[in-house]
Amino acid sequence: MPGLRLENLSKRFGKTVAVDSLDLEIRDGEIMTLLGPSGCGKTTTLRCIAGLLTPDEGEIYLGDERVTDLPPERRGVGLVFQNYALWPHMTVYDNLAFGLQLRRVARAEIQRRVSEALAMVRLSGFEERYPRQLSGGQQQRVALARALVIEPKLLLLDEPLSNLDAQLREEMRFEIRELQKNLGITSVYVTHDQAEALVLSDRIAILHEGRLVQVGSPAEIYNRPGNRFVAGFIGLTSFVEGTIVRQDAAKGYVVVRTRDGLELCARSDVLQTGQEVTVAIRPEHIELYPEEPAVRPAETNFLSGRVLRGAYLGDVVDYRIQVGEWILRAHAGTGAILKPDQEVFLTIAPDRITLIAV
Amino acid sequence: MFRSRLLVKSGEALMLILLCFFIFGPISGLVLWSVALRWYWPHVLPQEVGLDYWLQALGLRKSLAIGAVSITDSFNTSLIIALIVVAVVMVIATPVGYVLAKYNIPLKGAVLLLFLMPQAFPQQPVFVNLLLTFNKWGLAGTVPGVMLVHLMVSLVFAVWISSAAFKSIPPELEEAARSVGASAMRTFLRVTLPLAAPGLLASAVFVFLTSLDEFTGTFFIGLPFVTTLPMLLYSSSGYNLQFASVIAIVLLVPSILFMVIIERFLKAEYIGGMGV
Amino acid sequence: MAEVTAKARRGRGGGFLPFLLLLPAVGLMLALYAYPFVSSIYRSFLGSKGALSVANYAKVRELYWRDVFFSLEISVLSTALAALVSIALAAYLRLSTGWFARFIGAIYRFPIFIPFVVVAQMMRTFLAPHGLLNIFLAQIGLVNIDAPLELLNWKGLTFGFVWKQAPFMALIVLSGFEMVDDTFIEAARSVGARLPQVIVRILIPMSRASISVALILAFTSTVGTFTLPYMLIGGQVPTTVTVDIAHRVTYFGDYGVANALGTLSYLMVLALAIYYLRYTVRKGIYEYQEG
Repeated sequence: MPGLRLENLSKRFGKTVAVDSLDLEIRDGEIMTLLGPSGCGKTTTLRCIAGLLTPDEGEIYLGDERVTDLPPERRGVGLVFQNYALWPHMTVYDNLAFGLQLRRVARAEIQRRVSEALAMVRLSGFEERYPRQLSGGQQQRVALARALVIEPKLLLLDEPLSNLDAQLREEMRFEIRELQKNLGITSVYVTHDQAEALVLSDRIAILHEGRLVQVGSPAEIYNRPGNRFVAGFIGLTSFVEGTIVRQDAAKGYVVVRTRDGLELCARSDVLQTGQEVTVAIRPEHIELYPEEPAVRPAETNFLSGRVLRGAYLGDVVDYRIQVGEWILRAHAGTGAILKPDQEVFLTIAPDRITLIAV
Repeated sequence: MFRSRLLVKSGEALMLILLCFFIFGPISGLVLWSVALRWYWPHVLPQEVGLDYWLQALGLRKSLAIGAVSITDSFNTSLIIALIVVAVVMVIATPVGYVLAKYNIPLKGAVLLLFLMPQAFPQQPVFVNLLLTFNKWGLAGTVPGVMLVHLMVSLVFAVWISSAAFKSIPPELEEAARSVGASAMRTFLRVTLPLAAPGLLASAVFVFLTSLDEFTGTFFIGLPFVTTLPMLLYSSSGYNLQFASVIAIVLLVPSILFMVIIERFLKAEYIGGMGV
Repeated sequence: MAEVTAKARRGRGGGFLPFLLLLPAVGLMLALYAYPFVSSIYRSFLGSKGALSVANYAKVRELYWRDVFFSLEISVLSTALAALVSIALAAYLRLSTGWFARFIGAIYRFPIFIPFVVVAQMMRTFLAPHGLLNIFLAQIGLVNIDAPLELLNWKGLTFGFVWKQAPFMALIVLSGFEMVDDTFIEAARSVGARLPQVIVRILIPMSRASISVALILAFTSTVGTFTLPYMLIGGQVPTTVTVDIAHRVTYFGDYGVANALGTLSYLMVLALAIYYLRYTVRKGIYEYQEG
């Protein structure tokens, strides 16, 4: 099965540039997520790949074949939509069989492939139901089966889980991931939900205002965001700005000092003294102590601050803590709840701090 | 979307030309005839053109020619009938539209049915039997009789259009007014009515045009004493093509003009019923 | 909770007021529509001596049987042709973009707004043996100028009906097509459907309701239209039932046979009318409950 290559892809609507010279390669058998806020160009990119839009510039290759000008019906690309788009006047069976009938597949073969596809999404026995008789989750599984039954070279999913409720959404993430791995089908998955992207992607491509910002594995994107936009978009992040004032080349540490005199130690091999940086810290990487520890942990950042407020999130409490002139967000267990205005002590491991050159 | 853009474009161009010919062909025939002073077969275009028939028809120039008609009397008759019909219909149809949109009354199905029947069955037999009744009441061949027929024909449309206008107002807007202390009447006058106004105006225009263009009912109830514009068009069409064409254009222009303006307020299904 | 308030809001009976508001219009409709409607059927069964009989129908059988079928044939033919034209037009407008489509979308509605009496007058001049159509066809060499097409008969009548009804039907069908979300079409194309297949397998079946309404309203209106056949083919043989009714009333004052013809015209549309009324009344009540 072939991979997918986008070369210098651009699409404008009037004066708005929806996609701006995008280069992207999706490897054979890989599931790649296009992630970004609404209006970032991810859906436009997907529609260009599907053939529903013709790009203004650039080329699309499916394997070795150039498909840029091919109409959608001749691309052999499976599509799954946010609203499922199951044809309401057809039964589940007819929905799946439609594409095979158009390909003049023999009747017996159609029956075999439809029941196989339905078994794959655990909906055997639903052949004669109409879409309106199915739950949202079932409908989306049928839509998935419909896209897969034609044995496409590429599977495109456009926010397929956004219409489902939270619990179902989490289950379906794993289901899609498993299905994709079992079939080994090259897939492009569009979403604005970073949790979804982190769970089910091999790699994530982050788009912002029509441009590709960063491509990488979920771990790379999460732990080493390439810029402030990515850091802010993926997970909760607090930012502190400062300048590198010292470095310990042997150990690979640098020290960042903010304009109000706060000093933070972080790991970096590349940044030099004098560089202005943004410091990104994730809430789960901050440890909170209600009282000053008797022994300061070695080789870690130690700060003190004041609790502004806390929000109970069920498994953790999300605190906003004033440290100097900065506000840091930190997650702590629900054991001992901190009160507003209470003094609090924080430790942050240098390995857990991300520095982004400004 | 297709394989060959050139092929599609030329297909589209051909379709456009054909469509233009079939839509504007008959209309242009009307225009040509209205200004044709002399047009004998097999000339492609009139040999002599001028506005003589227009001037005569509009009463701007006296003519002694046989068959010359002035449309001003008929125009006035049509206008008076249409204006009164609009006034009466709006007063009695708007409340029905409101009730159908906002209340859950018993026998609602029967009321809906009554206002849908005229769309679903031929109306001509109804006019025929109305003529019998009107003969008894002395309404046949009178302007009030014709008004009553136009009233019946246009009432249905006015009810549906105004009902759609009221239905499109979210009840929350009225409830918000009530919650800040407005009475039911005040809420209706200050919130509901202004919001429904564009739809109601469309309804009034539609009723006006329906009355102006109405033919079949007037044919049975009005003739030979009440001559509205469509009746005049009909009676002159046999022997005076030029006058008939002038009247046809006089009827056609306001219909197209107003309908283009109010069309977005109308459901497609109601538009077809006018001018039958 | 939301359901309860919705019910409370909509379940409002309002006491006496709604009935008072309905009274004038409903009264008028009962007097000016329902009563003549019922009496048209009743009178069709009245014999000359005022007793119930089928004499009027016997006379129809004798004199106008050919016309009854002519009316039916014309209506079926023009509705079918108009349906084909309108579906093709609506599908084109639904699936196309660009200024051609926008221009066609703007002009195709023209005939909808033109009253039948004007349409009739237009068709008389356009389709006449020496009318514009024949002159045009002769100019491009398709017609011998000395033997022009005779169109002031069933052909011209059908043309006139299609001219007036096809755009109207296209308007309704297009509103149905537009309710079909793009994703349904895109999904079909992604599994390999070409445009004709998208139209036949997706657009048309998903817009069945709109297409039925368009067919029914066009057919009923064609059966009941008096103006166009009266002015275009008048008393030719055969002619339509509507022309016969007028003829019976104005020349003979024979309401019995006229009403028998009228009742037959009800019968022609009966099945479709019942379907339409059930569908629309249900939709009216359902829409209300759903808000």
